[in-house]
Amino acid sequence: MIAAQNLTKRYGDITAVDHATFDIPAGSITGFVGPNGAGKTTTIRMLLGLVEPSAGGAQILDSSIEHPERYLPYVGAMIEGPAFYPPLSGRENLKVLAKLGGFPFERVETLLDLVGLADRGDSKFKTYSLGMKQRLGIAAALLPNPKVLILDEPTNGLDPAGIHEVRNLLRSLADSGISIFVSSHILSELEVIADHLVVVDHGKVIFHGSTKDLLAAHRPKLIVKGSSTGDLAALQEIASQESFVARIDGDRLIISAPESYAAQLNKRAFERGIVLSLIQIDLPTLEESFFEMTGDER
Amino acid sequence: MIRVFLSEWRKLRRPTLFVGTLGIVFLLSVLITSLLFLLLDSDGGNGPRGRVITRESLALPTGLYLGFTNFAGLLGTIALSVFAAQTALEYTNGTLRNLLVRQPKRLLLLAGKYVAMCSFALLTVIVSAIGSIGISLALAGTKNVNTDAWFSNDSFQLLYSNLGNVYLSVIAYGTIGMAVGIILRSPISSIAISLAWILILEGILSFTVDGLDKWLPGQLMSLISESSNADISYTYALVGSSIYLVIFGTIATGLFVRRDVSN
Repeated sequence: MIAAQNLTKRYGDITAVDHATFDIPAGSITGFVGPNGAGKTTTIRMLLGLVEPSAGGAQILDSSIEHPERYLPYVGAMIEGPAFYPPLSGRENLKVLAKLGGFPFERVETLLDLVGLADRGDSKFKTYSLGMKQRLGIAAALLPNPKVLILDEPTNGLDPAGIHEVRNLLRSLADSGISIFVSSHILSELEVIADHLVVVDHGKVIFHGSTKDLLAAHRPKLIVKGSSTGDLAALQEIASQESFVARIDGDRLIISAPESYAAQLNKRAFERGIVLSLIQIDLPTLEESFFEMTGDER
Repeated sequence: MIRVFLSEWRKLRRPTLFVGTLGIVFLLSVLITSLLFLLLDSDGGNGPRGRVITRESLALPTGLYLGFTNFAGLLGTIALSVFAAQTALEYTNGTLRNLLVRQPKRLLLLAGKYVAMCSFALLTVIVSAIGSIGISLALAGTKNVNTDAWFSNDSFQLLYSNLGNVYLSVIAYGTIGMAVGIILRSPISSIAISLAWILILEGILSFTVDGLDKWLPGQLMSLISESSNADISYTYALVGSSIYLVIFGTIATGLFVRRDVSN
C-alpha cells in the first residue's frame, strides 16, 4: 500500500531522512514511531508530495510519489496538527477543501457528525478547543473517503474519552479496508492500536514489521512460581542451564526468555518434580522496546 | 481550475474580507470624489497632492470619472494588500499543505487562486466606480458643474477605457502583492515591504532623482490608470509594468511550484 525505498532528504549537511525503506501492508494500522526530529514529518511530507526527496523513492497505491496527482485523490492526511482558516467556521473550512477536491458537501455533514462537531460546525475555527481542532483535522482527512489515511499525532490535545473515540474510529476504518499510517509520540497509544510499526531514529528506519514481533523480540520475560518457595532455586538452575538469565524476586522467578520457552520450562520442571503454580508471559512495553532499540538509557 | 477558483472564493467571500474591503472601497471612493467637488473653490486645491481641478475641467467628458481615476492608486494598494495577505496566509496558517494534498498540481492551484483574486479585484473596481460616479452625479448640480459633456458618447467611451485601465493597474498591483506574498511567506512583511517601497521609497526617489519614474514599478503601474503623464506615455507604462510583472511572476511561480512546503 505504501512502500519506500532508500527515501532520503538532505537539507545542506543535515540528513533529515536517511535511506528510509519500509512497507506498509493494506488494511492495517501502522504506527510511525520516533523521537522529535527523527524525520517522521519529513517522511510524511515526502509521501504527500509536499517535500521533494533528495534520493530514493516511494509508492503509494502503486503510484510513484513523483506523481502525487495520481494517488492523492484516494489519500486523506493530517500533517503536523490541524491547519485551517481561523475566521471561517469548521463547516466552511471543510467545504473549502471539499470544493477543491471535488467532493460533495453532503460528505461534510456526514463527517462533522462522525467526529462529533455537528452542533459546532458553524462556530469559527478560532473558537475551537485543541481537541475540536483535532477532530476537524480528522474529518478533513476523511473527506475523500480515502483508501490510505496518513495522520500525524491525531490524538494530540484530546481528552481520554476523545482518545478512546479516535482509537475506535481508526480501528473501524482499518477494519473497513483503509490503510492507516499514524505517527504519535505517545508510544502506549500506538501499542494499543497499531498492527505494524515503523520505528525511526536520527532519520533512519531501525525497525519495520508487526508490533507483536517487535515486542516479542525485545526482552520478553517469563514470570514463574513453584508450588513452594524452595522450588525457585531449582527453577533458576534449569533456566541457567538453558542459558537464560533468571533472578528471584520475592516468591517469583523472573526469566528473560521468549514466550516459546514456557512449554520447555514446564516440561523440565515436571521432570524435576516441580509443579508450577504460575507461568506468566510479560512482554515489554513499546516504550521499553523503543528505548532498547535506540540505546537510550531512560 | 474551476474547483480551485470556487474554493478560493469561499475564503474571499467571508464577511470581514468581502464586506469590509468592498465597504471601505465604496466609502473611500465616495469620500475622495466628494472632496473633489466640495473643495472646488478652495485655495488649498481639491485634487491629489493639492492640485487645483477647476469647474471647467470637471465639466469635460472625463469629469464624470475623474474622482474614480484619482482613487485608482489607493485601489491598487488595497488589491496589493489583499493579494499578498490571501497568499502569504496560506503559509502562516499552514493551510497550503491541505490545499496541495487536495490539489497537487501546483501551477493549477496558483492559477485558480490568481483568477479568483482578480475577479475579487474587479468587484472592488466596479464598486469604487459606482460610488465615485454616483456621488459625482449627486454633487455636480450643487457645485454648478456643467454635466452636459458627461452624457456624450465620448464620455462613455472614455469611461469604459478608463475602467479597463484602472482594472489593469489594480491587477498589476495585486500581482506584485501575490508575488511578494509567495516570496516572503508572511502577510505582514509582504504588505509592509511592498507598501513601503511603492508609497514611500518610490515617492522619495521619483521626487529627488529626475527621470527615475520611468524605471520604478509603482510609478509605472499607477500611470496605467492615469493613461499617461507629461513625461511617460501609456504604452511605455504598460510595457514597463509588464516587464516587472513577468520578472516577479516568474520568480514567484518558480518558487511556488518548486519550493518544499515545510510549514
